[in-house]
Amino acid sequence: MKNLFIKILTLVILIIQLSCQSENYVTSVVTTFPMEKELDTICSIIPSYGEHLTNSINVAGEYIIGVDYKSPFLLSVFDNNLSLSDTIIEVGHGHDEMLSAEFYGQWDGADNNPNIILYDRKSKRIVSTTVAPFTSIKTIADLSKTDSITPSKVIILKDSICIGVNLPAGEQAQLFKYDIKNGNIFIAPNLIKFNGEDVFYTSQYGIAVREDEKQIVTPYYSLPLICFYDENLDLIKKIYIGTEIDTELVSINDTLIGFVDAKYCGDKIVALLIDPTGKVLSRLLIFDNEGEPLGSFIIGKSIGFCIDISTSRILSLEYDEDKGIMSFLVYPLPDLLKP
Amino acid sequence: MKNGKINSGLVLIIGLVIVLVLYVMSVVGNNSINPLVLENVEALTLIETPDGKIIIEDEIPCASSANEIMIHLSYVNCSTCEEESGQAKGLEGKCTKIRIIDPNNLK
Repeated sequence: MKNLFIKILTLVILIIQLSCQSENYVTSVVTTFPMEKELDTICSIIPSYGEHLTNSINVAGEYIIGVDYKSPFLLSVFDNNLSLSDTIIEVGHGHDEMLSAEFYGQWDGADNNPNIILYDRKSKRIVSTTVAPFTSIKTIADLSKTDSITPSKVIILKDSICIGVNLPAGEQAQLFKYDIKNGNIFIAPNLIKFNGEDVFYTSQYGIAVREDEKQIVTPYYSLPLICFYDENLDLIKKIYIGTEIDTELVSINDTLIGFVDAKYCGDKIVALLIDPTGKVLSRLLIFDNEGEPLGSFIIGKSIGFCIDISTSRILSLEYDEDKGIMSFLVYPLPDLLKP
Repeated sequence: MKNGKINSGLVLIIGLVIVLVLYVMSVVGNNSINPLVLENVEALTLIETPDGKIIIEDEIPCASSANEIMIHLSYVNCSTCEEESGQAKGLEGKCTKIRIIDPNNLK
């Protein structure tokens, strides 16, 4: 009888532990990095079509893909020398046209003819296309059929699963998974609370998924916070840079430093932290697989970046407000990121 | 409790009841509307339709202009009341948005 009692008690404790698991995360504050330095630029290039570039660039094979605005085309394709190779995908409702395009660096195929995956936020479609040359657009998933999510970012995983950020107008951003095959949606609990009527603005974040799809990071745009999740979208770790901030008190009128983007480089995480006032220079922060800080590198007033491993360099974007033009800044790849 | 000893039968029954309650709670939780979808929703109106869908009416702060180069950010455009990419340059008005959630899709 005593043994039975112990077994039941163990079972009860296990069930209680499982039910509490979703709040089992670590919060850390990083004030210093083991390596802190300023990266020297190799060169600065004002690209053709630079007046149409947004702060989104990513590598796809031998090409650098920039997302455009105020242009009849949605993407600019640059070669390795950062010369404009092509502008592709016309804005429109036509067969090989899109209403909007976001590229998060997902691609496959040959280096000289990469097939990239794009998200059209306005039509809620995930598509793929080749860029060199651009031929046609193939729809991978049409999320417009579901009213339950309003994805602001979407990354497609193996096994026809999408993972992304649900950002319904007026509400707090949430991580979600969507099964393309059966239409099932899982929305992760928001363990980080925001408050006020501007939660739509203050709670926004990006998303990056590790190659093995077992870890996800979400860099917050309005504050210096980056979070680590496991494959089940359970929060594992919250990392504040500088000081811990009460997210429930963050307002759109605050001018806190915040992340622009985060990308995986192997199993390391590289995230760009910027000051919205422009008074403090931008920093590229590098974390290891467990979220431990490795390095902090000042990279001018960059507002976007990508990592080009094949040429061992970091490309960043800097915006000249007076001229209304974006320029490329080329930096050497820090040793921490070399394979 | 009898003569200072634990009544093992009573303990067994209490243990079984706890396990049963936790099991029932988890089953009921799996079959009900996913509460996460309504998390943080401070809606003007929340209506459940006869077919189980939820209609949410919200008032959202919007911006008349935005810095469009900051494409990673999103804002609600006061002119169209649609979500667009860009960094809002101040919130100047409000838009009313209606959306419909089908809890049957949520797992």
